[in-house]
Amino acid sequence: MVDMPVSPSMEIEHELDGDLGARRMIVNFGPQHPATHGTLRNVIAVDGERVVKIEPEIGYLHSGFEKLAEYRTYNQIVTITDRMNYLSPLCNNVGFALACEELMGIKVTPRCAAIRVILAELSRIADHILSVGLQAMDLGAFSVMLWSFIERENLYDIFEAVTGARLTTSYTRIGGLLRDVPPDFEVMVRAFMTKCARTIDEMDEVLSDNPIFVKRTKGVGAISAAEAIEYGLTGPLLRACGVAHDVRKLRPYLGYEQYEFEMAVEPNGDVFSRYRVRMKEMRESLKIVDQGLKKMPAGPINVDDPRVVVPLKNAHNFPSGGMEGLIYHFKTYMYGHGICPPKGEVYSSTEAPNGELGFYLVSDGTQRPFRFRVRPPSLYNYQAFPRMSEGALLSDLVATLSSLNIIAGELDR
Amino acid sequence: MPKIKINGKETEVAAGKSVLQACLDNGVFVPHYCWHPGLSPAGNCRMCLVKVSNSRKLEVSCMYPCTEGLEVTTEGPEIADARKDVLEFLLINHPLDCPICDKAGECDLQDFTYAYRQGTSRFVEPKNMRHTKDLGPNIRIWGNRCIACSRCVRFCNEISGTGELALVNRGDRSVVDVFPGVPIDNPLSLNVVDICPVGALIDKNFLYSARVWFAQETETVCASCSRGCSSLLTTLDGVIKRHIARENPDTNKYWMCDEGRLNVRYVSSDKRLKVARGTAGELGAAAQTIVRKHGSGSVAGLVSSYQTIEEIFLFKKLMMALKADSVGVLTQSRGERRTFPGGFVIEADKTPNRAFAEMALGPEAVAQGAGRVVADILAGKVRGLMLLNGIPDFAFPTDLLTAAEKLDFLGVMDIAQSPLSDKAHVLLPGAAWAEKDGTFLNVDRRVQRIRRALPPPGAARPEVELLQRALIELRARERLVSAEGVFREVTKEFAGFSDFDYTDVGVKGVALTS
Amino acid sequence: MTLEFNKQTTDELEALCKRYPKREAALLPALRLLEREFGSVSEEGMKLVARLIGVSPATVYGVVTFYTHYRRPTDGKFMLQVCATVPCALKGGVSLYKHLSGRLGITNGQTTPDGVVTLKKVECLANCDNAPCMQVNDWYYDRLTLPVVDGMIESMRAGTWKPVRMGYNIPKHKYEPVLLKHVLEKDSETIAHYLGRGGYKAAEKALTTLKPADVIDIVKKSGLRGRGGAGFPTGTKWSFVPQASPKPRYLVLNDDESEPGTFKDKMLTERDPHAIIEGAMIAAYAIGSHDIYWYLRGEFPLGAKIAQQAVDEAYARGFLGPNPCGTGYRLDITVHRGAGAYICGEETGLLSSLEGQRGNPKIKPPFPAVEGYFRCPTIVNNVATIASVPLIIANGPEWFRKWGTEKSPGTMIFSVSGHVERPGLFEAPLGIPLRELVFDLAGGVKGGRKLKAVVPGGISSGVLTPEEIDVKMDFDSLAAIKSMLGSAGVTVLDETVCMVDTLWNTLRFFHHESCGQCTPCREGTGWLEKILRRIENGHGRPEDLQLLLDICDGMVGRTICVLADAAAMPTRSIVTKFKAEFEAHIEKKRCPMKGAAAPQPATAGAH
Repeated sequence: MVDMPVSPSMEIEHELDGDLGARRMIVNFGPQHPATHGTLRNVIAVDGERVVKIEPEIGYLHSGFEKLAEYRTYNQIVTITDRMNYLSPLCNNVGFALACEELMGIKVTPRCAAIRVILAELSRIADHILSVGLQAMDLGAFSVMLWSFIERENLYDIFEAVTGARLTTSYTRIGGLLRDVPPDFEVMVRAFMTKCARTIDEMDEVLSDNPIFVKRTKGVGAISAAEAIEYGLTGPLLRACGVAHDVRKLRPYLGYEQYEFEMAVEPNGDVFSRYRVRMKEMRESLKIVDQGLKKMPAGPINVDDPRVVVPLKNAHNFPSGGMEGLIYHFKTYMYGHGICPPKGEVYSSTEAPNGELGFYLVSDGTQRPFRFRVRPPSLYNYQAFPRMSEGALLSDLVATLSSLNIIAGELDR
Repeated sequence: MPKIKINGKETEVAAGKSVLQACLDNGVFVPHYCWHPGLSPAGNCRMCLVKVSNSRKLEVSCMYPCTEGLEVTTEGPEIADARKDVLEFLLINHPLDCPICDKAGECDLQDFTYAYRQGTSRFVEPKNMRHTKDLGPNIRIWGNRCIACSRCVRFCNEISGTGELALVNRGDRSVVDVFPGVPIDNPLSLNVVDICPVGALIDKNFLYSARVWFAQETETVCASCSRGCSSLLTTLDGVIKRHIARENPDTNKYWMCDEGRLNVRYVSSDKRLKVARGTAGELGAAAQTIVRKHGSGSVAGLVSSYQTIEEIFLFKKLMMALKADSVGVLTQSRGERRTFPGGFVIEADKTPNRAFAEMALGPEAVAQGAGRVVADILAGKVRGLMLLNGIPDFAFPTDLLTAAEKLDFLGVMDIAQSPLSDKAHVLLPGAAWAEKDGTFLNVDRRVQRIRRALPPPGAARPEVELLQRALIELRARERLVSAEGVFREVTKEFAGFSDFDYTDVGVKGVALTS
Repeated sequence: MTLEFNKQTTDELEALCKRYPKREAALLPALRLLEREFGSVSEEGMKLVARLIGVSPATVYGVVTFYTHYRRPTDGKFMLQVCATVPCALKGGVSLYKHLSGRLGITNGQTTPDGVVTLKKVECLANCDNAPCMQVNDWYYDRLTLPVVDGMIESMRAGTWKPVRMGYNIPKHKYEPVLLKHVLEKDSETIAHYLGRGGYKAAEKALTTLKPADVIDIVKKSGLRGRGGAGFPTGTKWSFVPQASPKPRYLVLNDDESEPGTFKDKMLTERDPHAIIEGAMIAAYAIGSHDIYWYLRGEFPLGAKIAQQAVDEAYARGFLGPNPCGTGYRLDITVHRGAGAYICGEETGLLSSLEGQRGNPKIKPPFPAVEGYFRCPTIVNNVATIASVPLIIANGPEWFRKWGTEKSPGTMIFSVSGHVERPGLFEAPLGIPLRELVFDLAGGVKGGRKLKAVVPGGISSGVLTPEEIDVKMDFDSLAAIKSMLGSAGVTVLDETVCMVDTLWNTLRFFHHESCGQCTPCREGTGWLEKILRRIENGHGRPEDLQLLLDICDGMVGRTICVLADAAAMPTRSIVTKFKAEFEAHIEKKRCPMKGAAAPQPATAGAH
């Protein structure tokens, strides 16, 4: 053991004696570790197998998204949002577009809202199903992860058909969408829904009453509701503590008030509760998708405002609209012009799979935002990790960490 | 002074102002094309229609008089409709030239269409065709883009007094043209390109050379004569693309002469000095050696009136440190002072800072030019000469060139190669006007700022830096400061500069207080 | 080659320049002198005039290209100007033009290779009762047939062509003429004839016994309204001249009759110029003016010649000059020719032209009565209005009110043209029903055909359907049905007329005549014409009809002068009243009436 401080708050304290079981050590859990899903580092002071103190260290995946956004136009920023929570990029796309639209006072068309809702819920399923699958894998149930990846692959097929990409969807635009969904969208989605419901049921069957799984998750990583609120936890973590808080219910957007679904709330606040919340949410998401498909209104997907959405090319007047159309195309694309929200700021949030995803945008009236600040749910969720892990065993840490579903892209930006 | 209401807010306006002027003065923007503050109003574009309380129909605010109690409304559905319709009419015959038109990015037609009209057209007929031709050596017209606002015609009639432009033909065949064989070729001709609200009149020197939204614009003043018109330098990637007028009620109002606009080529000419021979420190040291050997008065100085206030100030300090007796000022005049019918003046003195040279070095030094220095060299009294020149394409007097042969030491700070720079013992390339910060004192004793728009080439440096280094070498100065720092020193020594700093000088300049 | 005027012309020009407040106002007359001396207006000639008048060559160039009536160096020995506007088109004017074009092998504006003949399609020549009409150099020709025209060409080529003076149609009817009483008598244009019928007594009365305010009062009481088109009360207009203004006042006589379908002023000018001069004297006295400008359209060279002769006679007899009727109230009349522009009939367009510029109307307010000619108080009156003044002064305002209605008193000289048995000038009391005018006085639709539409007051006034022709022909009755009396140019259209084609012709006129100053009219008139051309040629779309109306909405009320309104009125009128014809064109993708023979020039003796 070398006499060097490894972190500001912890000093090496070790006793050399023959009894391995009572040795204090400082170990690194991450940044490269199969059980930290994403590049996170936890510096842990352990006393044998028991955790004494954890210090999470973040920033390994910091790419400067917020700074990059200051040099991109609003529609260009959508591509950055893909890379935040990369398990559910469409939710990020939707959240960001909503923030810009709120800043500009634009209300999207009904069809656009319906499509966004459906895709956001499908993304939620993608995120949760993988989260549960990885959770299971971390605790030894490897097959469950493979099942969840199959469903993710099916979802990737749908996303690719709609947006053109599996992961980096960049689908929403300010005031609308990249393009309308393909004609066989409903067929694809319903096919998926049938299969997915079965997979969710299978996963439920395999995990919920599995003694190993239950023993390793019940009572592990628990946090009280009051503390959860203090730490700013949101999403499944908060609802697993018994707090009925969901942005879709509290401040409905995109017409969520018209969809019938229940909030998934569990009382105990431990890893098992979080698992149960996620399972329930997936089922509720399927319900929402079903309702969305049923009521899918016809109509345009882009709002009819040429300042925001460039007019379509027209057969006999290239570009559309003759002289006026050319001027609008020019002014929309010219460097320094285009979508320029009025000076002001907005904080807009949506219920992402991990919790409340917020975007704080400050516009200075130009084409590029003055400040693009993201409230990533993972960041606040991760703060609670040390509290949840007090006095836990090392193996409990794995369970707890995977239940938090920390996505490094979102955490570090 | 009638009291009127604009959009419900009461305000008092000066007598004789039109409703449009009253609105603009009070920060209420009313879109317009044919009106220009420096020209008589025409009322033909119909874009400035507003509602006035004493008329049933909308009236053109550019020609409507402000009378006591008038109520003006500049917003509302009726006015929005009028603007939409007028724009529609303007656009139906306008060619889809934006991608190839120089004006894009600073075009009133683009901007107002985007602000006041939706993005679709109802016109499916063939568009009118009008001529595209050269109107003069510097100006080309794309007639299809002309909106017949007549600003250029009025300019030539009222401001330059030359009347080369006229609207020809009738109806929607109207377009601006010149008399066959009589091109537009007056000293103020390029102003019509500035004031054309669309891309119809184009400066051939700027054609297709830069897109304005990629370019940088630097507010500066023109250095081509002692009027010091406020101007704007458009640069892209460190190259000057164009030089246009900037509004300044005290020097040039809205105009600038062609010579000032086009006199920028020298900045990027091949003859620019880019390589130094020796350093500023060596310059000072060598001169000091001469002084030590031959006594005071053995080093003389020549500085041009093209140098900034800061440079002339430092040069004087350098000459004093070198105990120089004779300091001459190189100047350049051409032709006569010329006043145009609209009141615009082109000075005969083609350097920007003669007024300060006279202030700092005395009117005699300016009047005699290089005369005394040459005499002193030929008499053997002066053995070393320091030359600080920035006049573009300057032809040094031949007697100076001859006398320079007799010098033991010649130190040259200049911007372009010349016979003197060739034989200089120490040669320090200097920065051209567009490459440095500084101030000039114009013929009306206004202090105006120039701003650095591009870096000097190669080893060239702003002369304030070179001179300070020489002074430091001579221990006549402690440390290096910026041009603004030197300016502050100037204000302490010269009356009339009060307590000015660069912020006071600002973009419009400031008059000396005494 | 630098041109110079000979001594006589130079002296003439200098004398002319002195008659105007500023030298630049003599530009248009100077160009006429140039035309006279060198046969055409060339570039060298323009430079000469520019130098002599003191304006830049570009200014002269702008003026010459604005007007259509100057001869250019490329024009041939004989300039054939064929009228193709609605009243002549109804009687075969367009076919005549096409025939000539084919025969001569040239198109509009071109000259035959032998330099003998130039062919031009022009707008209304104010000779509509004798349609189809053509002007050869300065001479009018009418009632043309194809054989007659062919014969003319031959004689032109042979060098044997001689001009022929055409006549006037003033059929007798039940209403007693007032202004037209003597116009068909021999030598009616001479001062001897005029004096013989009591001429110049009214002027003498006014100048010697009445105060200017009294004169204005009398004219106000008479209720005389402008006969040029606007119908503004004349006396009221005169009273707008500010009494206290120290600036000189001007009276301008508007003899720029260009409203298609109107031809009364031409007749009055050529047959009774002294009535105009006497009226001008009285009017000038009433407003405190000493200088009168008689502006005749460029296409009236004969009228200008007669006007100048009459003015010279009046000077010789002491009615004009430093001491008219011994009163010492100087009165000077300057005859000023225009150069071919309908817009110069608009009062401020006329003033611009009189100032030596392009005929661009001026922004109002200020109105000409306050700031007009070179920003001095100016009254512009139509010559028929002016010609009424001596009779009102001589006989009193109540006498004038014997005819007409309460709000539109007096008689009106109705110009009737188109498909009627008796086209011509009909002086009748204001307020007679249109039906009476067309079917009684003018003999009804020619050949007993069915009536389709009537233009009541020049083509700017739109059309009336057969159901509407019981309307009274006075200013207010027509305004009440969204039409106007205007210049009282009545054109009758029968069932063979395609209304779409008529509207196209109308809009071609306005498109050609728009001065181009302000955006809505300059672009709007062109747009309207292009749409009509498309519809008439079978490429119309259903949305075009609403588009036409929308364009009118965009033009009206937004322009410097009312030419835009004048283009919008017939458009709105014809599109709404004959919507079915437009829809038929659009649906069938062609003109349903083409194929039905296009109207040919009348056969000889058809009148």
